[in-house]
Amino acid sequence: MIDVRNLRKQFGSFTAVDDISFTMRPGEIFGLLGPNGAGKSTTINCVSGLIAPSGGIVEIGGHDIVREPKEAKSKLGIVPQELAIYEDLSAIHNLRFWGAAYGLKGETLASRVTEVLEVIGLVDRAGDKPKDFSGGMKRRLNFGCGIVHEPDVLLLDEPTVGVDPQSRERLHDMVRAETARGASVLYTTHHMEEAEMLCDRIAIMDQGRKIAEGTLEELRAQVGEQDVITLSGAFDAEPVETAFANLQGVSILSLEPGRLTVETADGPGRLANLLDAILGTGAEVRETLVRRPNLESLFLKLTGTELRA
Amino acid sequence: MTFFLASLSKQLRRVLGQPWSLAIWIGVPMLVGALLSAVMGGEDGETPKVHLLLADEDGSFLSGALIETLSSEDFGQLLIIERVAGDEGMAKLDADEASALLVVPEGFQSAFLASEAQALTLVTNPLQSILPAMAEELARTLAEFGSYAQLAFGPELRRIGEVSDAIRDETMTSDEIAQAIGALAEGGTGKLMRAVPKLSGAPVEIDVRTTEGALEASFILLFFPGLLMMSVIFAAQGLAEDLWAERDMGTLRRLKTTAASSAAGFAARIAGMALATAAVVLPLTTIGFTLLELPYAKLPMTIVWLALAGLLLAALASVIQVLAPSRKAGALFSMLVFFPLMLVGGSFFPFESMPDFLTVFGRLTPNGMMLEPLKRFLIGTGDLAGFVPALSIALIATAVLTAFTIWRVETRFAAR
Repeated sequence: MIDVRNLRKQFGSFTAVDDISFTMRPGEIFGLLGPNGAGKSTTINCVSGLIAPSGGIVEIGGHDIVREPKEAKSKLGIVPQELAIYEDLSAIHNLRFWGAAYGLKGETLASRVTEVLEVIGLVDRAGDKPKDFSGGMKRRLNFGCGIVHEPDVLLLDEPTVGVDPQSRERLHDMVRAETARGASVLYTTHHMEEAEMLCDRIAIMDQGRKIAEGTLEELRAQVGEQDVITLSGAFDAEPVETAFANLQGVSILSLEPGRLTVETADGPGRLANLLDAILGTGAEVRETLVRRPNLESLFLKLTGTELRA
Repeated sequence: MTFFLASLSKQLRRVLGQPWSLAIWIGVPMLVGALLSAVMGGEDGETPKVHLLLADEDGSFLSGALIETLSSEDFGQLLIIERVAGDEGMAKLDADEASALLVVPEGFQSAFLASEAQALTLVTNPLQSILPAMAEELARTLAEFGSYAQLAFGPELRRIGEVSDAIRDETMTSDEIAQAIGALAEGGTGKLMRAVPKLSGAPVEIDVRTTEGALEASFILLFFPGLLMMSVIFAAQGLAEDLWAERDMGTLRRLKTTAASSAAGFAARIAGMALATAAVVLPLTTIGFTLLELPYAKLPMTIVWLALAGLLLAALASVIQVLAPSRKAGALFSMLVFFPLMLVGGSFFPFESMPDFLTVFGRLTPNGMMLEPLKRFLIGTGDLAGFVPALSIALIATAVLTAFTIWRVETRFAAR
């Protein structure tokens, strides 16, 4: 459904997206996971045709977004990160307008608007204007406007930012409903849990580059069964490295004067040994965090920085 | 077509959802019109007259004749004459109770009849501007007339003065008076007598008339089309600013990700602007037509023309908005452009009350260009053909400006 090859986007001398490639299949939720500024939104803007790529190819349903924008865009639905609805038009008129913008007309448009109002749970508020809606209701309408034409490909750019847990759950259900009818969903998020829970395949991005890609299981396998232990305090590099060289099964992921991150099997069981060794170097430890293997620990392992940083 | 109609419907619903904007677009010109109409006397108000104080310090036959002439019915529509003593006149001027004081000095008649230099003194009211100027013009005309009379009939006028003085002083007998009048009639005065019939039946006549079917153009009638244009300008600015509202809501950006045609979207926007402008000016125009007793047959053309003017002005305002770096800057730039355009383009003052150089410039402004044929059409001095030149320019300018706006929205404005 979507084929992205060697996508690159530069703004002056700054490279926002650097050589990204991925493909998506029908009925699949493909997650783009990464911290703020990783290049997720720029990628989705290039895929949606909102900005022109500096290099590479984006094909949607076999149509190049640059050379055949009309054909490619007709298969797309987008739910932008920021709300993009008419606050001064009722919910039903918003859906009618966006349905018409995506080429629906007549009875098809009317019936789809009715269906979407039910899906997003705004039947009772159909005649009300979004300016009187709660944040969650606006998000749902924003989503509804992107699916009113039943697109083959749905692009969701951090759709749950600022959404309460209940509305988030509802949005996730709506996304799953879209894949159930065969749509491909490209989903960007910086919430590891959201990606783990929702996505069939995930690409992890950092500083404009794709640093890992696969199913959740495949990505977890990259971390192995190793736990990640992060210690905050004051550390001298040389004595710490010497002390750890004598500890079997422990490897340093990153070492900075204020923070030390190590990888080891059975983190909770090895913690006491680790602390003895570190404190023996004269280091000071103020905080200790043990993480089970997950996407966040994979990101940490791959980049040496926190996903939420 | 569906997207065009959906966009048009969206546009109109959003305009109708702004009752306060609509109220301002309609209400402000109404308020300005009502205030200026009240200040200028309105359609049925009395024409302003020169309140001229006359101080006759000569008390002669000639000064009396001058005052009688000014008090005649011929000047009644222009002047309110009040005879005063000199000091009393000055006090009234100081109290802003009159436009000017004309003093006929002592010895006026003697000097006039002796062909000596003599002067009428005109004191104008500094607190007024137009009416004292009119009094000054009138006094100059009188002085010129007096000078020509003196040159043509000097000896005869001198003799008439002597006879009238003798009659007053009873220094001549009846026979001598009759003899003197006879001599005047038979002698040199013959030329006066011969001139009088020629003057009364002068071969050159001034036939004052207006264009057939034209209305007498009162101030408010001249001002009315400018008021309508003011409403159009307000609406055009408001409708153009909506581009920023759409941008801030993210809808312009989202629209770019759809397969919908930008041209269809902007065509709907243009149609929506025309319909919205027509809806805005309809009440104002209808009220104006009723109050000014204009023929309702001209109402549809007036509305159509104003809607077209709205397109041109909205296209200009849209260019300003899409070039502005922020919404605030857009509103400021728009005001900086349109406020002077309103001032010189005939919306605050009719061209007829503006200096010539400013009128020439004002008629070249977009609003002034659209205003002139409408004004002539309403007053009755112009026909439908008079709209054609401005129509051609307006259509071309609107197309060019709109094409630029679309390009700017597509490439920069929506993507920011």
